[in-house]
Amino acid sequence: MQQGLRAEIRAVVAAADFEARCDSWMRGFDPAFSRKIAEHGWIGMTWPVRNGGGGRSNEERLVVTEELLRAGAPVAAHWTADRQIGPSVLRHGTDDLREEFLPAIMRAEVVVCLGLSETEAGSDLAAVRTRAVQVEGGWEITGAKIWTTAAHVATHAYVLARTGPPESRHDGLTEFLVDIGTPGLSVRPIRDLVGDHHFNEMILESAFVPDRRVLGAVGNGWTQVTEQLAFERGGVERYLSTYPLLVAAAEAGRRSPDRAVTERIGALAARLVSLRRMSLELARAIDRGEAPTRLAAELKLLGTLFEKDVVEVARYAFDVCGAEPGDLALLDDGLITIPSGSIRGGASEIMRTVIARQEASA
Amino acid sequence: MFNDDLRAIADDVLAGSTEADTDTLWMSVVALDWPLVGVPESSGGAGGDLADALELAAAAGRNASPIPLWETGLAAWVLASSGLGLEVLQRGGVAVVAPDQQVRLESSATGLRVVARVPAVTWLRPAGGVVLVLPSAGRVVALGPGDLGPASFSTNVADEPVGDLVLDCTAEQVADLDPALLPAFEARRALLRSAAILGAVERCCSMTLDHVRDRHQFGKPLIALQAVAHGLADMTLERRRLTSAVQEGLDRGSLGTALAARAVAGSSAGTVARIAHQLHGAMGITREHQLHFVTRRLWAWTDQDVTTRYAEEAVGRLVLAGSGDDELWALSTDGR
Repeated sequence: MQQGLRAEIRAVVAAADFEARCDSWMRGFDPAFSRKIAEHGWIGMTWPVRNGGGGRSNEERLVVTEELLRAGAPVAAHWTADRQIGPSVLRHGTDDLREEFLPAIMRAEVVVCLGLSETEAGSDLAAVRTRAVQVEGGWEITGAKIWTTAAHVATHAYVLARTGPPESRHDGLTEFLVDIGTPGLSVRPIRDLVGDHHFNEMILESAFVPDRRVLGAVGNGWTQVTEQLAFERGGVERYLSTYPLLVAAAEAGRRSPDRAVTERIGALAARLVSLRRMSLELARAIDRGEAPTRLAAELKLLGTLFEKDVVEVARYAFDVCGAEPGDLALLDDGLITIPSGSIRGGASEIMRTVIARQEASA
Repeated sequence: MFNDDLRAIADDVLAGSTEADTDTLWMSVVALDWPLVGVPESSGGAGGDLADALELAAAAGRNASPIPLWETGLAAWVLASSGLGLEVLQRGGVAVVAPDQQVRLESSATGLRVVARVPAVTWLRPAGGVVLVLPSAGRVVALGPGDLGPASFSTNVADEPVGDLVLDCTAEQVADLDPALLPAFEARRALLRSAAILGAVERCCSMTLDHVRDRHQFGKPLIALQAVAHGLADMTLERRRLTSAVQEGLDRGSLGTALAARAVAGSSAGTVARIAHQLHGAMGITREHQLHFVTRRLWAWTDQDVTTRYAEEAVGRLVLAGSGDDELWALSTDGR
């Protein structure tokens, strides 16, 4: 499928200078590479032509994203904007907001970080306490966001804030797009378990946001963010984060054939066929204008279980078949990816709850 | 799922299969021509495509129907693909691939003498037919009930008949085996078995959902307990990934995608049976409860036709055959 498009992407990937790594959509930050992707029209490629988008299908976008992650390419600089903020602006934004953001995202000039979680609002997102108060010409936002990946390199922050009364839960939330340089907005690093810096705390102290930067309707944030999460959860990054490691494990199994390793690689490959099919179904559902929240939750949960097993099989394969230089570093890369996989974008427990609830009401 | 109209009708006809008299049940599916679905009408079949055959296999699994419905269709497909008539399958039958050491062929003045001993053939019955696929000899042989010698019959854990095929007869219906037929047969069988497993998985999910909604403990329905709800979610996840795997095997048919579906099916079968029983509690392990009709099938089918391990290894060999991740990527995405 899409052999021409695939060939084009592979040529761009082959010409770029980077080292394949796990989790490249989160850890591989390279604005120059993202601009290259933008030049080929692969950011915002599914957005309507009348909005300056590429007017292509989500099935085609699937081909682009999977080829990029297959290569372990550094796509973090544009990933979030392309995946969920652009589509959200497209669905809910005013014409002004679309004109301001969509072309800039497509040129890879916008790096967005997601201000969702707070210290008291993790899995329970409706407990968000960051407040936005209406002032002349806009809003003043005060609060603290946490686990904000890439805030230190972002140009813009997406912020989910409470505009209703403190106890309004799902009903009183609103989405904003905030310039990262806004006075009153500051970013503090949080090092991850190996000392890498991608997480941040983002503090907002009466940070002013003009009215035109409200995304969608005031008070409609919960509905909008739930849809957005279908985009966030339903992508190929939920099962291809450890793909470079799977390939290395397969290479080991090829160098030094072993029946049990062959079986384990085969079992993973079979699961990959199924996950990829789910991705395709998701892309088609989005092309039909649906927000497939259940399928996205299922793909995320099954995908992160798969990624975890890739690491275990790779460990086994390197032991039985021997490791080449670089293999063990890649294994470590995979190992440190695994704990976050089943938390970010919605913890597995939340996914199971979402799925069980929908099963019971089906 | 593969053919929604047929699904509804099949569930209607096969409902209550576990209590039905098997002869009556067989007559009713024969009256509908279902055992020959997926075989061209020009060859004496009922027409319909692989999607229809998969839908029937899933329905047979979902309703735990104790008849060789899709097994007969598969045997008929082999006969039709080899240019042979379907007469031997009037009371149902199976196709078996027999290795060299189990079969001896001798040309004689009266025809081809077949001497064979093939152990543990599922759905071998005195009244049924057998289609022998002989890769080394390059032959396909159709055998009717009258050709079968004395055999010992038993049952598997799902109460399906299993017999040792013992033969010494002159075969009248013999054809050359098209070399391309063998992988196509293996793929078709793997996909049909996966669909049957999917059907049984679906039934486990629906029975478990009903149970955890109806049964109250601690003053509330079981499903209100998060651990229970998450067990249910895990079952439906297996259903989802198996559905996707079978759909991919159907839409992007190849030996690789079919065996991938079969590997997923074998792994899902065990998980689903385990959780279904756990959530049903002691009631689920009684003879009286219906759950065992589907879970015993899942246990039996995990390693039937081919073992799940075999399917995993075969997929593994396939993806390790190329260089880099060429074959792995082609198998999973169709992107060469």
